Amino acid sequence: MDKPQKHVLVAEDEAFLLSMIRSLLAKHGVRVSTARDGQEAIDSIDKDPPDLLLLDLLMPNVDGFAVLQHRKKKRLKFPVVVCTNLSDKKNIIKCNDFDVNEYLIKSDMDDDQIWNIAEKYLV
Amino acid sequence: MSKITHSPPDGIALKLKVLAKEKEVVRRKLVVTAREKEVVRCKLVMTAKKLRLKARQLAATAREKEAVRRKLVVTAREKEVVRRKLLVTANELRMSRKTLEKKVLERTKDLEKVRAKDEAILASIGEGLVATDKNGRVLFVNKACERLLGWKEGETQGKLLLKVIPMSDSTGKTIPESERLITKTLKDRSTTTTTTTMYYKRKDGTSFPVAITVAPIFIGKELIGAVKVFRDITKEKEIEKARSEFMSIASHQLRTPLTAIRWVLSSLKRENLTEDQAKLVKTAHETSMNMASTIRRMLMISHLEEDGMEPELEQVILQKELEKISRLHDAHRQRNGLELALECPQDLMVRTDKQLLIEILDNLLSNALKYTPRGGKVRMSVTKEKESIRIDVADTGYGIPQEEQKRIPEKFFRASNVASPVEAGTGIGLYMVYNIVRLIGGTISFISQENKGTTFTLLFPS
Repeated sequence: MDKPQKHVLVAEDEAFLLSMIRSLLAKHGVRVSTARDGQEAIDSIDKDPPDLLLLDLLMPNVDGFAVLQHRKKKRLKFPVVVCTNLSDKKNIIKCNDFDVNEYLIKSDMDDDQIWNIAEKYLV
Repeated sequence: MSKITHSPPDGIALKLKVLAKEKEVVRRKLVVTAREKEVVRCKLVMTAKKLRLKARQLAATAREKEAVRRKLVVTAREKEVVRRKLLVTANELRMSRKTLEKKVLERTKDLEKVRAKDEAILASIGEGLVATDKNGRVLFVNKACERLLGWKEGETQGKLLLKVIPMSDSTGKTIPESERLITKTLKDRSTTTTTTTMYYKRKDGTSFPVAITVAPIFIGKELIGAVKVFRDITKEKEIEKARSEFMSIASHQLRTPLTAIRWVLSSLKRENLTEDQAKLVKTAHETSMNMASTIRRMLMISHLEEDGMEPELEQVILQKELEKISRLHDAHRQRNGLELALECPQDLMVRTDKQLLIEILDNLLSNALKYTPRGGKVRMSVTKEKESIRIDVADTGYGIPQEEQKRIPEKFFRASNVASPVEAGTGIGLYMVYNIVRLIGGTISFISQENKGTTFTLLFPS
């Protein structure tokens, strides 16, 4: 455990899903920050920039795109994996324009698959 | 001289001698005259003969002439008959002409009425209507057309249709003249219809979505022009948009609780469960996966039908994708004791839309495995054919009944021999496959025999 502990920020408005992702990541020895909406995510990024952001798009008040906009404005380079249940083409295109690393549909995968993907961006 | 002695005196004798001589002369002359008479008589006889001949000829001629005369008389009589008949006919003709003139007048009036009615119908059609000559110049436009495009009456007459009505696609890109329906119709002499949403530009520069059909006009076999009918589909587009937004929201609302269910079940599967519990959890988890896939397919169909989908081309390593797809079905396949063979040339690359190709192959493989009884075989093989890639998905399954085969591409269609006994199906998989195949510029076909198996063949550009 010489390697510094990796930091993942999870932005997800569904409390239950958030807790599941958190416990899953924690099991793999990752430090997890959570945000319940876009604003919390932006604040968290500014205070404690993560090594990876798992981002939901549809969140109350401030949505995921605002977070992506903030990352772009601040020229932050940490990878982003979008975890959403929106699969409209226009959202996917928009995310591509924000240099999102992956676009995942939550209901099309199992919980442990999130780790398989997150792991790639934490080496 | 003794005679003289015994003769009358010399004077008388001399006179006798002279007389005798004169008689002799006369006799001779008579002879000559008789001869001449004979000659004359002969000539007369000849002449008489000639005359008789002539008379006979004349008689013959006279007879012929008489025959001719008689014939002429007959002809004259016939002519008279004909003349009389002609007179009658002429009279009848005069009568008919009068009736005809009357009738023509009546018919003209009727036609005029029909024409006015037709024109009123054309003018009143709610859809825009334009007729052009074979060079694409405007011959006629109806009121709806002028109203929809903002042109004044008669303003478009004789102008090139392509210039009068500019057309663009949904991104606002102007459609080149060579790709306009009217150009195609006049060139191919066949009816063309818009398959994606096109936009017409009004005179003032604003646009609206249209559905268009252009048909060629023939007189006999000669192409004389084209007629175009178009409809403003702004309302339909609004409804479509509302539907698509609804689909998007509804699917999101369904997916969120489903995610929770699926994740809990998948994490439970990793726990120490009793055999019975494990079985239940596994089934519930698979059901949740099926539900997720149904939602995904429903959304994809909604996108496909909205014509908003464009393939995104990228390099795809076929073998890698095939293996990935087959792994998704491993659990089901092993449980049902099915054999799967993959045949694909190593490193075969193709430039296509990866997600769409995966969707097609995943559906075909899933069907092959679903509709093949225990112990059967499924084979997926890829071959390169000139400019295209051929993928066969063959099974030894239930097959598709002959009489139902042409219904396979229909939405919600399920073959009768598998509708109830086998696993749940929705009848949207192949409908989707057929639509996606078209989208990536490919073709799909199949051969099938009941209880022998089915082979689907996908051909698409490499």
